[in-house]
Amino acid sequence: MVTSPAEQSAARWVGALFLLIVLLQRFAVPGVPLLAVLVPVVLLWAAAGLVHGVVTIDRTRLAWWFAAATATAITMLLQPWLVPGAQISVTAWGLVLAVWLPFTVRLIERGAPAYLAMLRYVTTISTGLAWLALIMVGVQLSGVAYRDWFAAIVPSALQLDGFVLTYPIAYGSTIFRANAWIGLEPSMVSAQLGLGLLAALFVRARIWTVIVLVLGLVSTVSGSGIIIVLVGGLVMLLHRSRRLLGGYIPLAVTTAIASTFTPFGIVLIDRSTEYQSAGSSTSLRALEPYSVLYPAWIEHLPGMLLGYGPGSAQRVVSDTNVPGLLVPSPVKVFFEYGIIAGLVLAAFILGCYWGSPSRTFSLSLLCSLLLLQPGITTIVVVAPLLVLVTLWSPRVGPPIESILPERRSADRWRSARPTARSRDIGSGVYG
Amino acid sequence: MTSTYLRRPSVMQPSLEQVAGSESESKPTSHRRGYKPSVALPMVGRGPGRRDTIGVGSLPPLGLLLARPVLLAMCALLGALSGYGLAGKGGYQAEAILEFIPHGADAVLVVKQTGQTLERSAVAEDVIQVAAASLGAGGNDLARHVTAQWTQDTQLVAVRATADSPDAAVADANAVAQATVQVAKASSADRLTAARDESNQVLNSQQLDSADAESARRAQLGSALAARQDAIGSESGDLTVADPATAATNAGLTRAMGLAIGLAAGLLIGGLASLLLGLRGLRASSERSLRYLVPETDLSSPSQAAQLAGQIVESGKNCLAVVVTEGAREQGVALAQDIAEFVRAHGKTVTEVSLGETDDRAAALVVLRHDVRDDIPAELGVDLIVIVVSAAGEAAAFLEGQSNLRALVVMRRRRTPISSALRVMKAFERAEPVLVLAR
Repeated sequence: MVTSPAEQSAARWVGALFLLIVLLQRFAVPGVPLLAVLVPVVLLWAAAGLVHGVVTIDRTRLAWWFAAATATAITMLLQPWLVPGAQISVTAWGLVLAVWLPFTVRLIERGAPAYLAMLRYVTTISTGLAWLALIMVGVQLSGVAYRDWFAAIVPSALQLDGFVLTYPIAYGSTIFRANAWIGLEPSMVSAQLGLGLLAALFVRARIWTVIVLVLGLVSTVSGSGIIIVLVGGLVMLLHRSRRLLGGYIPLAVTTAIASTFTPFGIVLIDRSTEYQSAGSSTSLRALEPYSVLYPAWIEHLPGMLLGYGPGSAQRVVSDTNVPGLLVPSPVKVFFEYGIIAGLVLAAFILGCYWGSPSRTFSLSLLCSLLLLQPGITTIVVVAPLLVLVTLWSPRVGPPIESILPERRSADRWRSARPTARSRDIGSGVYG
Repeated sequence: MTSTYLRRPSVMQPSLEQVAGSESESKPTSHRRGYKPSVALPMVGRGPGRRDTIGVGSLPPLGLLLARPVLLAMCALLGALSGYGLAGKGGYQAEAILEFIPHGADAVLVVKQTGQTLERSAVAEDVIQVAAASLGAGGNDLARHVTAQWTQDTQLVAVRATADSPDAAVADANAVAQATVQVAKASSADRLTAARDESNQVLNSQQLDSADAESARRAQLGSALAARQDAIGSESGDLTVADPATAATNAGLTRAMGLAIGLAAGLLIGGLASLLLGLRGLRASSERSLRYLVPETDLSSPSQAAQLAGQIVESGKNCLAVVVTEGAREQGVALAQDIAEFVRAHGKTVTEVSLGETDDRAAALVVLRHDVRDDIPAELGVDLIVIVVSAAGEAAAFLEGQSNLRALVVMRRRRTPISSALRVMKAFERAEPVLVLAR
């Protein structure tokens, strides 16, 4: 497949953004240990893209961003007045706006060739991350105790706080879950590797690449990436792209079975039903937050309608003193901003999943981010959505699941490239 | 330098008659008098009140945001005032700190249990009743305004009270903190009494036959009671008010914070309104504002007539259409004259034609025909023809979508809707149009 220089440029820009996300996820803004450096970095990336003509502002999403920001700001003014016990953190509100502001831009070149070129970059970067994860595990299995080399090298003022970097794969074990040293948490590395594995399938990566990615996924002993792969694989099965899976299924099954004989695979299998246990990681992410926050949410009608203030959900969860209890995105939106402003904010966030060239990535990220991954302000969690979905929306031509894997697919992709007029679609026509 | 501005150039008359037949020059246009042309004309949608469906392309959202500064300023002002007005209505909040000392082997667990127990007991009904009684009439509805929170990994519990006045908030917080300690001590006294009663009951209900044994039994019971009373007594002394409330702060948003949030909310509302309104009713106030909105459009002004004339001479085109938007005819005619003068100064012969809205159809059929414009020197005997047409007229429709001419679209500052001008620019896209902003 031949890509034009403009398409290559777009793919390079987005690939660079993904690389930054992977490399900088543990860095904090100097002097602000709770603010990820990725927040300003992604904003600066968007600004640079605008200056260089790689991206443009999407008027529809910008209007929704303004609507969400307006609704939440007005709500914030009313909360102390009308909602008993409302606690407002203006910083938390500002963080929501800052994290989601880059989602108002889109690439100018959004055709399938550019998208597939970008997926190649994602595959390469994820493979590098998987190698790091495997090296981390290999070093431990060879008898060398785990050490956080990132913390040893990087000044503490530049390290992001508030995350569980890694922990033993089982109680009392000396083997720690792989976070590849640079990963913020094993679950986040797992999600990035899951996305990389899906990307590898789309670009028909080499067999060894897929093997490395699968092993890397297993080494994290986390379900986040596996959920992404399962949902993505299901979507691929429902489209013509199912043919892409054919060559990889025997390999994936073999690798998966082989890994069940390792301590990592055994723990992963044990974790597959852990959602039924109170206090398990899955339960603390997907089930228990609702049982904790729902009674508090319905306590006051004004609170239901207007919310209890930005940052309040986290405070309620912290007050329970349950380690590992997280605030899922839907809970955060409606608990903190109420039904009225929450609906506007939720509409904007859901709109960011809409219309990408790949339904596989849209749906797998939707399931992952809304159900398992915490919050809407964790930039390392939401930034892959920008990379793989929102920047490419509205898509040009049919979704890649429908045009793959035709023999002459290059022609189809070529025909799906954006024209000057098609690039304007989505901005609306004014007059 | 003199200039003759021709409403109806004589060189056009034969062709006019030839094509238009018996129609006179002053024949009204079709949409005004029901005139039906003898030839099929591919122009529609030019009547008043009808909008064409030609898009004007995408406009930069940042330009749209900045295009209505007055709206933004008004929204920001109203937002700031509203925020200022709404803030500070959460009353005042004061905080008293309780400190406890845990007992037990597993100190971490005991701290957590004691802290969480105090969180509940500090706002329990019996404590609130004692606090309300100490406050008198001011203690009504105290339970709704008091909260207690254990600070994780500490032995401190914060009792917070909100009230309408700072003094009331301080008094409420201290009353509840004191009541918590008082109730804990009362509970301790009850337990001491209960321990003593139990011990007395055991002491008096039984008696051993041996005097020595009985004496030893009594001594043991006494020691046990003393140890138990010591334990209860030490526990009761472990809860104190470490830091009573002395001052109250604003509960909820401060005025300054409300002002800032209101200002932000106002700007956001203004921005949203600007985005949603788009170009609706928007008129260019300056060249700079126009540049924000249409950065890729060639912009000019009547003062740059010489430059425009030079560009036309170099372009090699023999026809220049000055398309005037509503209300800009006078400026368009003046610009055409200026350009014609400059072109003549370059040694070219120029004919100027002004086609009005009412009588332009017949003339348009002759003067504006594509084949005529293809060879102006042969057909009209001049090097360049400068035609002033109204954007709303049908003559303009004759020229749209063609490339053998250059177009200048003239709009007036604060008069012409930008959307109208851009629609005309789009229609003349192939004629490399320049948007001229006139006063």
